[in-house]
Amino acid sequence: MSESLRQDLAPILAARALKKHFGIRRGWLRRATLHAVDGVSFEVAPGEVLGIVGESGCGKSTVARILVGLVEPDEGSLKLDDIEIAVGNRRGVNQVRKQIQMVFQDSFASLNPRLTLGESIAFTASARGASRRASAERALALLAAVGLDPSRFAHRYPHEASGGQRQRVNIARSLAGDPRVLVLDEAVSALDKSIEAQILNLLQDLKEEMHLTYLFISHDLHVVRYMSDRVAVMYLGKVVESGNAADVMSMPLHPYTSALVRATPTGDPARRVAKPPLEGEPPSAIDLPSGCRFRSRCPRAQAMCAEQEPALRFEGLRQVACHFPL
Amino acid sequence: MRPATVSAGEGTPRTRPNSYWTRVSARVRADPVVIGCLAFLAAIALCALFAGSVAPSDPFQSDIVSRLRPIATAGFPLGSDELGRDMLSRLIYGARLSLLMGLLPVVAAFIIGTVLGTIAGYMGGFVNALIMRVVDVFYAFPSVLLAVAISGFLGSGVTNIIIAMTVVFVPPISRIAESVTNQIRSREFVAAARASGATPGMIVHTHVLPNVIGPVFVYATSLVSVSIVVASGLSLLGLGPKPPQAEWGLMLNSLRSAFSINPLVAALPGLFIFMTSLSFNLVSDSLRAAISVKA
Repeated sequence: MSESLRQDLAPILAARALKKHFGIRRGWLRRATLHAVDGVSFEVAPGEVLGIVGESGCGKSTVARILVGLVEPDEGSLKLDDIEIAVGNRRGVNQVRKQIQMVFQDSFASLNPRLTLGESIAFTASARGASRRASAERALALLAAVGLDPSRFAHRYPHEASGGQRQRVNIARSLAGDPRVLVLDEAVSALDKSIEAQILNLLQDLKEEMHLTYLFISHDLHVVRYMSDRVAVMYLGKVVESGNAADVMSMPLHPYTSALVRATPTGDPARRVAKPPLEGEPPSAIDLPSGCRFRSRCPRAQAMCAEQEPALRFEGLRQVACHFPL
Repeated sequence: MRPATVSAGEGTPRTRPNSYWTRVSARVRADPVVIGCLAFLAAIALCALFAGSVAPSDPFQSDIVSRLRPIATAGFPLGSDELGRDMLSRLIYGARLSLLMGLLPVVAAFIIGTVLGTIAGYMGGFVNALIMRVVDVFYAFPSVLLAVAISGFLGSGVTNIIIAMTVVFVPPISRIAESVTNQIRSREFVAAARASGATPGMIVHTHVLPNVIGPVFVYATSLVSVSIVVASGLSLLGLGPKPPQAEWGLMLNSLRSAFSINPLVAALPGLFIFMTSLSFNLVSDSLRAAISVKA
């Protein structure tokens, strides 16, 4: 779907200036602040897939956890349809939880080893107040919906299923909560490439069948590009660029996005990059650089970048936070 | 792992779910030493239950003429004690009180400690600090000293010993339960359950408790042997049952003076305390090994 069409639809989910800082101890009596998420805003239209990409430690997962209520944001708000949920509004958060579900990365750790696959799925349904019987029936139906034979898998334990099968169960479990938005936090990153493709196709099919909206979080640009309508690129707790997925990937505006795109391995040996496009590690989220967070690694950084933090501003239909976009 | 517990092949419908405890019990049953210990404990338990029909004579019937008979005397298969009572019958009846005083405190402490530890571990924060610091106060005393102090305060008697030992065993069990709960709480499947909107009660019931009870139960079984020894110790000190009641610790105490005359008979109650306690220990060890194998 084109960008202009998307903008006609009211967003199903909107995040406004989400902030989450963690207080951490550094040795005896010394405290520091880790800026995990530092003012993240985005909107997702119904039926859309918003990809969120970035290196590990950039705050992707914290954003996901805020969305499903596992982490309470320090500042900012969430809006689901027309319901605005401000910080500290427990009841509001619970309302949102009922509509947003999450699929975790580690398919084994996110399943209780003492429950059968069927029981794990049924638990989510019964958490929504469904009766025992209705939950069990729901679990069987969902197993079938994610492509697993209920008669073979309902009574298995997690260790008796493969990684791909377990991830299907995790998807089924999140669907048992009747969500409208599904947060997929690195949901395919731990899988083999061939299994990954199957799960991605399953996700595509489920999205159409159940009219879902996805927030697809990954560090893998290929996968994000395949799945997403729009992407948001995060760097150290901030969105540095967002826009139509194909445009952002083919013509990055932010130097960081450009480096990410160039660092992605391609199937073509002729296009192999000789040198990594970015040197070093991202700076620590505890001691942030002044001005632009990316300037310490940015090939285009100038004096201005150390003084003033660039705001996320519109560049056509896309948004970028850089003083000197490409 | 035994072949019987390996999961069935693809496409074969499972007739019995291959559950966690099925696999644990298969591993425990594979050990002949454990089977021997379990058989011994079962024999002791059956004797205690049906003492009335198993015991050859009245355990309270004293006979001043036939005092301190050696083992294998006619009419006294295991000899007689300082008042001429049949040792075998007294040992059989004594198993009742000794097992009761060994098991009941651990069972009670297991229930109380698991509840306290799970609440403290799952709630965290202030509730955790409140529960665990109170528990630490009791934990600071050596267990036998604490048991002696409490039963001394409550007065002697079987009920008071059981109460005192329950108080002694609650702290270690709740500490184990708390630390296991803490581990489980940080696991991703609990996060997944929270994200699904389940209430804390549902999460604890379905996801936390079933994972906490196993390790805590195994730890509690290791306390049974301690409990039997401490209970016998308390009755040896005269804090438990009163003569002429039959209880192994008390029997050991009253036969003390006869040790130089007939050491084998005088040592019999001690041997039973030792054997029972050792059997519980071996079973507990095997259970610990069986649950620590990852699926």
